[in-house]
Amino acid sequence: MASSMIMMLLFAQYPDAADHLRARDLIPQVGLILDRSCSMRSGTLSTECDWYAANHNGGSTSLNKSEQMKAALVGCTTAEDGVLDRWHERINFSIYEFGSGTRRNVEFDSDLTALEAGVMRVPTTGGTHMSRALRDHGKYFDDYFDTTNTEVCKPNYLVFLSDGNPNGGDATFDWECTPPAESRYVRRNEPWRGADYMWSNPDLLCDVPGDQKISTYALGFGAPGSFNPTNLQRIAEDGGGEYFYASDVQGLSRAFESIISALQARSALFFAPIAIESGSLFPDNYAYVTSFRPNQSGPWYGNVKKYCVLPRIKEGGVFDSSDDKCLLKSTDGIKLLTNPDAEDKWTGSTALAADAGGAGAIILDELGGPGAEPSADPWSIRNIVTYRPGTAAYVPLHPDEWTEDDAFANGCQRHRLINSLHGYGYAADCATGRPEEVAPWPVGDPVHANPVFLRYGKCDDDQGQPVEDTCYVAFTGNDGMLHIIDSADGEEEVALIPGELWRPNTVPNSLMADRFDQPGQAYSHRFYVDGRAQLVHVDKDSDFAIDPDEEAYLLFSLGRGGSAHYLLDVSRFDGDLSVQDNPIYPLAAENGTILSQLSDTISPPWVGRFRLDEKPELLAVFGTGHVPDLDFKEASSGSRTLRPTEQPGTVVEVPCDGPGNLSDQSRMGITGFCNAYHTPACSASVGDCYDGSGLPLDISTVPLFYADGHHSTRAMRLYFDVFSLEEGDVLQVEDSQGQIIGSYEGTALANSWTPWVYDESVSLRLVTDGVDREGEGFRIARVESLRGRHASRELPGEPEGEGPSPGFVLGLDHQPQVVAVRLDRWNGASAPQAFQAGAADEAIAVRFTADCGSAADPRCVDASSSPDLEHMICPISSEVSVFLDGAIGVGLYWGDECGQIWKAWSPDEGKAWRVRRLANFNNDRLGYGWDFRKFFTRVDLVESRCPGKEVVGVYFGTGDVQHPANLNLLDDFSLNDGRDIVGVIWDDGEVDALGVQDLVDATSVDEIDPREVYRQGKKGWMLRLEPYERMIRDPLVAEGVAFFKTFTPIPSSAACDSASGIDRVYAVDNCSAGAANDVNQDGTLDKEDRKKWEGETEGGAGLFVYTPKETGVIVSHGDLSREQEAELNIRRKRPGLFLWRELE
Amino acid sequence: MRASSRAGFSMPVVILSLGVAAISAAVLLDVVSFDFVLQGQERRSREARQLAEGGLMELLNDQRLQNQLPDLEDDNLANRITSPEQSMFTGEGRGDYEAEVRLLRLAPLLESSQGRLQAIMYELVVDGKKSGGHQAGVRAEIYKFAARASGLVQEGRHAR
Repeated sequence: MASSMIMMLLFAQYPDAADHLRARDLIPQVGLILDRSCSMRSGTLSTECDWYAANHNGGSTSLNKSEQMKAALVGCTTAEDGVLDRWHERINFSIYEFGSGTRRNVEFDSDLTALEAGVMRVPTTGGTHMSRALRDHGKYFDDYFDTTNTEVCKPNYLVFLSDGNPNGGDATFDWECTPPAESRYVRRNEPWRGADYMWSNPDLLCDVPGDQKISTYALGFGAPGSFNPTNLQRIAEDGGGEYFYASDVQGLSRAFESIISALQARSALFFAPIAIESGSLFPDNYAYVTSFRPNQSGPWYGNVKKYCVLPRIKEGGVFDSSDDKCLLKSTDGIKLLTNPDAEDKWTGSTALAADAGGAGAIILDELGGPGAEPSADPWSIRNIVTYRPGTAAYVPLHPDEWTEDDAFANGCQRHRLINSLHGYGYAADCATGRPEEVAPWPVGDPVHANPVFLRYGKCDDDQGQPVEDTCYVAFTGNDGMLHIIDSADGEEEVALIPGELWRPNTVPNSLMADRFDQPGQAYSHRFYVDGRAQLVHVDKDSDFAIDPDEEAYLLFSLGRGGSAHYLLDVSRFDGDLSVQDNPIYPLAAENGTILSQLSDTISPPWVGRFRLDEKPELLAVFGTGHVPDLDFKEASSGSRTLRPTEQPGTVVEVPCDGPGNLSDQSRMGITGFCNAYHTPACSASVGDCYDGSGLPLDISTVPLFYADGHHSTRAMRLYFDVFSLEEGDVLQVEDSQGQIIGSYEGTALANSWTPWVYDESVSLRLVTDGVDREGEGFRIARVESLRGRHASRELPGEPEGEGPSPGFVLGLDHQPQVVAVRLDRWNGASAPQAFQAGAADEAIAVRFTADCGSAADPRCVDASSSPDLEHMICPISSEVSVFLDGAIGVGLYWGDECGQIWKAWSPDEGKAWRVRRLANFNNDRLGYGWDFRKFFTRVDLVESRCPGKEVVGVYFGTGDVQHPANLNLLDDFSLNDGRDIVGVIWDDGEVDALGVQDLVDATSVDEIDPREVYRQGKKGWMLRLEPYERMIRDPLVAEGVAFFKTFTPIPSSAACDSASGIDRVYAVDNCSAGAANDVNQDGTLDKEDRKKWEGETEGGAGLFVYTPKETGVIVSHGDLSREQEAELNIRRKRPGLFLWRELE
Repeated sequence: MRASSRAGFSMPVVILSLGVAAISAAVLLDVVSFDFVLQGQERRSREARQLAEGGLMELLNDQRLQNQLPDLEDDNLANRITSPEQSMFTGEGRGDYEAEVRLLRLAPLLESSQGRLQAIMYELVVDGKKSGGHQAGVRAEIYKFAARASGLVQEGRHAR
């Protein structure tokens, strides 16, 4: 693969549904502290910095550390690829240099020219006065900023670039703003105490209102072995930042990505549908509400709480206005209002915040409370289990049980990971693995995942008190867990982490080990288990309870977390998960099967009985999901992710020598280290192997990367055929963060492999005693790389050699399908396979796709029998809707990401199938990119007589759920008019490939006459949404009123605001598109009245539908953030009268 | 002499006429009385039906009905309902009514979401009873909405 064709598009953002939480126009204030000590003169490497060499280094591409740092900042291969070039418009930089003293080189609010000139002025001389540098630059923030030149919300960072150990410059930190101000004397060799001063004190900018901390990041700059990362790691850890090993420009950029990608904090967001406690035919009056709290960095928080829904109903059917503890309340006994002060039934908390009350608070209390010292056995308090794929056993998430190879994390990072999942903080005793304190919050975020209620008997006793161990609520979250909570008391019974999330394979988009690494420039958030969930229950006696003789499964999907649907057997549940009673069945993408292209499962399967071969079969029906690579803006111009030839998790042997191989990529040249014998090679410039502070100057090699342009590397290990170190020398195997994975002396690694280093690179550091005894050294003979997911994206162009074709070809690079899977086979050929992710063609009952391939497959329907299917080449992300005959499914409807609506039906009770394209709302064109109208939401099916004959009303809305905040969508007017639309198609059996011209546009009229327009040949109506408005939640038709919930992003002009927006609900007569209510109460029903409700949220949840026994159906917007009118519909207080007659 | 013989003829005629008239009147009275009885029965039946209809409407507007709608766990999937104490249609001399509400079926409803909602159909049978054993009944099918969830598979049950 020619390198010219590959471009690491670091700055292309990976869009997703959480993007509108990104801070808009938030300009962080970053002070760069550059090391000018004399040691920066060493560490010379041959680089590719042609531009820097030509313009600043006399043509030589051999750069010492100081020059490498400057090239990274001002430009390496071109004048524009420097970090300052890329970031100066989004970050307000200042620059200090430090050596044996400090100097302010560039002030804040300087332009690029001044910044780059300031960098180039940095000399290489003197000591390494770290404490003084931190103090002086930190104080400068306080001196410079006041209300005239900053905003309250702007975050403050110091970024410390150094290669050395501190060797001078004690400093006094004494300017924090909270009286009495702390004065802290920080010695030269404890710079992290200075970083801690600026992080642990709440306010360091005394002339700016509010609290303004300064967070310190540290970048170890230079080749491993040429500096000691320990000091820098501690500076970052105590300074509230992160440590990065920045050996090159990309490493430095990643540090700034992390800083710039900080998200706006929110106390509570509600995206997921609410679960109502099932009674029998009617729901009980309890609701389980999940919420989440985005954090600026790191994992997010989440929770589930239990509320009553309606206030008491008094005699005469009016609500008790004194009952103000439920989700809904009433001040006049009639009108229902949302109640932001609803009381969590488990804890009594009335706080709306996601990190208060609820099941999370109960877990936190059991752990000891935030900041508390963990108990003697910190991993026994919560029952968290997982499994090793392929092995039928649940394994406790305990450091004694879950090894480095299981966790895919080395050393202390494994402990941090396990501790974090149990609810402890990041800091750990690396020797024992014990966490140092309880985390602020122990539960992860259920962004899109809804709770599910499980009932095994009567949830309440005769006195109305909840009965323990009988009813449960399950919810998934982006801590990677399925939590099962006792609905009686909110106690977590067990939490399960799907085993596929730990190591690279075809299923997850992120590994559990990556959970600390978020957000990044390329993603707002790491999703793990984020799909919708449902209870699959074969309820023999129709009592809605899971009886001992009945089958019940919890079906949950990874959603944006990856490509799998899971069935967990919950037919019997005693508070723990057992292999016998609760096996788990992962249905996942598997190469070589029909489901090889299963992608992000952001929509749940429909599950129920479907007529197949004249008899009803229990099926799960779903589309192959969303292809996130097509979300990139560049995708519309043909950029594509290179399709790896090897599956994630594959181990390949990497040739050590030769062009393009390990030594070459490590920039040591073809005759690099692989065949070289390494002995201590102390720097000639300092004369011996020790510096002035007596610390050894061990220089071994640069980090060992391997990337072939197709695959990422997630782990490496090395094999030594020669390993014989001198007495007093030790070889340290380190990861990219400088964490020591193993230390080896003598002949310990002779003819042996190192442990797997779970990182994208591995570093070898030879620590010597400074005495050259002319030992043999070591030699690397073999290198193994464990593949991750794809590594890069390709710009459009002609393919070179055997590389993949340029661009992304719909129908070739992705072949979408709608599949119906037999539930009694699921992921197996004859029966479900437990604890083993996969798919089996034999489980497919029927499928619909453009091309079934050459092999005969009677279960496959393609364009040969249904010609319209040649157009079904776009990802299918929406849920499949099923048209029912009684309780039996007889027809399928779905939308795709090209703005098409599809229908599949059988003319002969499920023996043969037909598929028809009902509509294309992009001018009959197919493609991908941001300009196409897309279907992400399901269509709502209605038996309808609106046009004067019986039809299936297909209510729809278009909207790009993956770009909720973007304003530059639908810009290609050859595809559409730039607006998303909502409306209905009247499927009378003859609808075929409609366009918008086949629907009557009711936007500008008060209503239409459905019979008349149908007579005129129109097949439905549509409403054009307002500019930038899009439908991102499912539509609903109830009692003749169609509800469409939309979102309109509002870009903020204020620097401190993230993208917020307007949630809107349209309520219209489902036949005429006329307003359902006189919303503005002007005495007339006109088009202005269609906007039933508006609220400022970030998208919110879907429409909340509650059908209590005591009163009529309630349709609500579900915005709990403030007290407001709750109902969107006119609630029928009494049962509806269908017909009546006199008895004979 | 001739005048006395004419007087002896009239008396029996008068008596006979009176007898006939009395019998006719009695028959007429009986006929009228029977007609009144028939009319009363019809009226009472009509009143019973009106009572049933009134009861039906009264129950439809009675909050208690919603709480007494039978569930799948109720015997025979039916519940009996008595007239409310403050009924406008019952009381001394006005008769009484009884009702039974039966669960019929789950069904889709026109112009409502098939995927999210379903109608629970009930039969409400109201018998109006007037004094004398006169009664009449009306039957109505009523419905309430319930949420429909993917994944719930239930066997068919029917009240009738």
